[in-house]
Amino acid sequence: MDLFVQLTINGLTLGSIYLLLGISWGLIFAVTRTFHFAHGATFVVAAYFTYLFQQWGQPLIFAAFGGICCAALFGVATEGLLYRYLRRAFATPLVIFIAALGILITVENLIAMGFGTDAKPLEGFPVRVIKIGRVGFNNLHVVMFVTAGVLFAALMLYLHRTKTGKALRAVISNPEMAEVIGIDVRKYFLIAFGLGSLLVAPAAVLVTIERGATPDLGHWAILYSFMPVIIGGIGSLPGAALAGIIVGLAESIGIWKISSQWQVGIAFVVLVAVLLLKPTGLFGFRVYRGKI
Amino acid sequence: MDYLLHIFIMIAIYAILGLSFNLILGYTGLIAMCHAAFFAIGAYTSALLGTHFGTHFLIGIAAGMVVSGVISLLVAIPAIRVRDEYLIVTTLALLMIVYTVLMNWIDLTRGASGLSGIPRPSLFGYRISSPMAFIPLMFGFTLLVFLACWRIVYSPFGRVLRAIREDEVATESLGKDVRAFKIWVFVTGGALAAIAGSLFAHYMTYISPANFTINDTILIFAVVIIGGTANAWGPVVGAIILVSVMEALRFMEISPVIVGFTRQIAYGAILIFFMCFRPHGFLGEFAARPPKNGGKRNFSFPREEGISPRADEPRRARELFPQESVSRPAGALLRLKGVNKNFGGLKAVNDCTLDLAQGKIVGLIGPNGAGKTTLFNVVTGFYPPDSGSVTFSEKDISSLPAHRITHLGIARSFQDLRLFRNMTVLDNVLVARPRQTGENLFWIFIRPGSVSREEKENREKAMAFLEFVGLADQAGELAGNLSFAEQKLLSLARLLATEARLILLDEPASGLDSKVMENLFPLVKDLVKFGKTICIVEHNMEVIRSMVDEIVFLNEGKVLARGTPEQIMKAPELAEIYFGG
Repeated sequence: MDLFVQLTINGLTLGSIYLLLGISWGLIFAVTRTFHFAHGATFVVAAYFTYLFQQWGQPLIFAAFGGICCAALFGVATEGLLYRYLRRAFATPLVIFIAALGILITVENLIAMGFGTDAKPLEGFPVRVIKIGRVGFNNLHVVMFVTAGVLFAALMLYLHRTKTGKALRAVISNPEMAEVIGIDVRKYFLIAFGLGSLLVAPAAVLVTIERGATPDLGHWAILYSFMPVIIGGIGSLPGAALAGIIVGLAESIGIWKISSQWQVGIAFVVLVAVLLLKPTGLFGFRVYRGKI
Repeated sequence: MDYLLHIFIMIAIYAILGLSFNLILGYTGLIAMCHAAFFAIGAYTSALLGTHFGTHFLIGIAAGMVVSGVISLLVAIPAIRVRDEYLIVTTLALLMIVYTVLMNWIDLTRGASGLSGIPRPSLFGYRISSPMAFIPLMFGFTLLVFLACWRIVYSPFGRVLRAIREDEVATESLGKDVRAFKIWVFVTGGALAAIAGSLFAHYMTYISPANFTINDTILIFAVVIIGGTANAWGPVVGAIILVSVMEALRFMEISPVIVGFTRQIAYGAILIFFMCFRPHGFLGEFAARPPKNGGKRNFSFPREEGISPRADEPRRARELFPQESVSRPAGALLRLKGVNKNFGGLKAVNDCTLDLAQGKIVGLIGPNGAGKTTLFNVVTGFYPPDSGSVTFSEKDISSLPAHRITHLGIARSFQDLRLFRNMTVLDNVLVARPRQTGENLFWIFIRPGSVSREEKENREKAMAFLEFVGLADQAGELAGNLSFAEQKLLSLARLLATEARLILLDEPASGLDSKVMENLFPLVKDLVKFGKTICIVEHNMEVIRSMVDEIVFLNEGKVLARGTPEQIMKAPELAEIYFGG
């Protein structure tokens, strides 16, 4: 029983990270319909710039802040300098996808060349173990969980209560109509990329604190970014959030029965299972344009 | 020298991978991320058979193809159901699952340590062990795969693939089972990729999961993209370029630690560069189209100003539409009973009951949002009705998929035309021809004679349809380059080529000026003489009045009235609904 609770807690913390990955990517995808494969690059940019700032003598808090800002800038730049240009040239989704893939590979390998492939740690977060009964976790896990919850709530409030948030929802719903009623869709694309990158960066910082940053985290991050979105259903941010938690729990509890090497496969099996049973995802409501 | 041979062999392997992937990505437009998985499956199957059972390498290759084909079939069946983004994700999932299995099923695959001691192949008793000896083998297989892909691509099957890439919905509406085509191309691509895997295993004599990661899928992507998608030579060119770049980096003064990264950065940069400046790759799309113009005819009738269909050749038209001899069934051709279609809370089609008799032209009118296009979509199988039934020629078609309904004899046009813009006018019509033997992968290879004979006949028929609408001299032009009016005519020709008995036209007059309409609509009226039944959705009252025998007035999903144009036009309450207070 204790083991079960322990695994649940592990799953929730893992799921918190997946939640952040999912809602950040899901927001970008819903607003701009771009399969932003380079979101993984945003993730490693956040991690490594935080590390870099710390190497330059900044305390963790400021380093993290700096890393998050750099990530946001990077995300906005991919839209403003690349995707927008491609869209203007009537690029097909495939072309944009491949360009994004190119960015991910280039950024990851530049980082590998510059920093090496060993895991870069972040100092300054004293990890304190907390025990309740025979169940143990640490304060970092709590921070992950709380961060995910707070950011998710903040995003939902933003989208539903603020003017710009509502404008974003309008663009999600119908970009052409939004344009017609005077919303500057191009500006909101940039906002979406900025917001999405701002949401994923803290996850990068937290993961780096926990296990150090490696360049291939980018691949890992993008995979776990669109998986919750697909499982939860494109268009539903709460769905993506919930799916992130579910995948985290599934992976964690799955280790119980299956050897940990297979853990990675679990998430994908969940994905395939969901797609087989409910092709629009658990909570998806998007009726895609392009059909009749 | 050995080193150059090694480069040649690697080029050949990646050319095979690129050719097979091009079928899936370039021609059909499916963004599948799992091609390296088929590469791996072929390699491991061959390797395991070779090391454990000493099987002959040709059998190993065949086995690899079978296993890869089966797995790709299992993946394709669920994955193809879903939309593009989901396909990316599902195929990525497959890749990761295969990689995880390769790493962790240690009993079978030895995991990360890989399989070594894979025997070099032997052919007719002669063991192929030196790189030099490998060259003819590689060349032979590459040539085989190239020829197979060439044959597939320039066949009716390949034509449907291109149509699917252009517009899936339109392709489905022309009677092609889009899902089946996608599955077939996926399986074929997977099986061909396995050949590369087997050859790779026997050449390297050592394989491990590290050879088959997402980076390798990316490399295959790059080979196809950079060479030129949907181009038969493209992957070969792409393989040459990329393998050369990969190996050239070895000669630069780069420390071995970072050469791997530099290579990857080079790929990434190449991908970005090409997407920005030359998304169609080196060779572009049409460089390798065969210079044919089969069935070239001499059209000597003078082209009048504007579009002029010549309805004055009854004999030729009778050849086109042999169905006028079809007997008229006693009952209605199309019967709708209590059909309902809701979207969320909106009743788009509300308890619709309707009969359409054969040989009539019926106009479907009503204000915008009345449900006319939705009704078309339900009848043609794009939306299943929530309740009620649709019967065609006494056969219940309510739950049939769209392509089967077209097969049975109902075809429709689209308000936004949905032409295959990057295909020629002739190809647009050719795709629509029904029951083509050449659309079956097996017949293309086993009965090429009858396939090409049928193709010739279809070409002639297609040209005849184009003549009927007056577009015959544009046959070689890209559909996207036609004027709007010409595109409408092409859409009609494409529709007629399906040989459907019931033709549904969705706003055929929109966007046309009156002169063009004067030429076009006698054409449509004439179709009835050839046994066709026509239902037109229109807003243009002049067109309705001059063309239709009967009008059905729809509002808010319900049939409000039915009668001759005179009767309907005179009813004031209908006018009020249509035009507002």
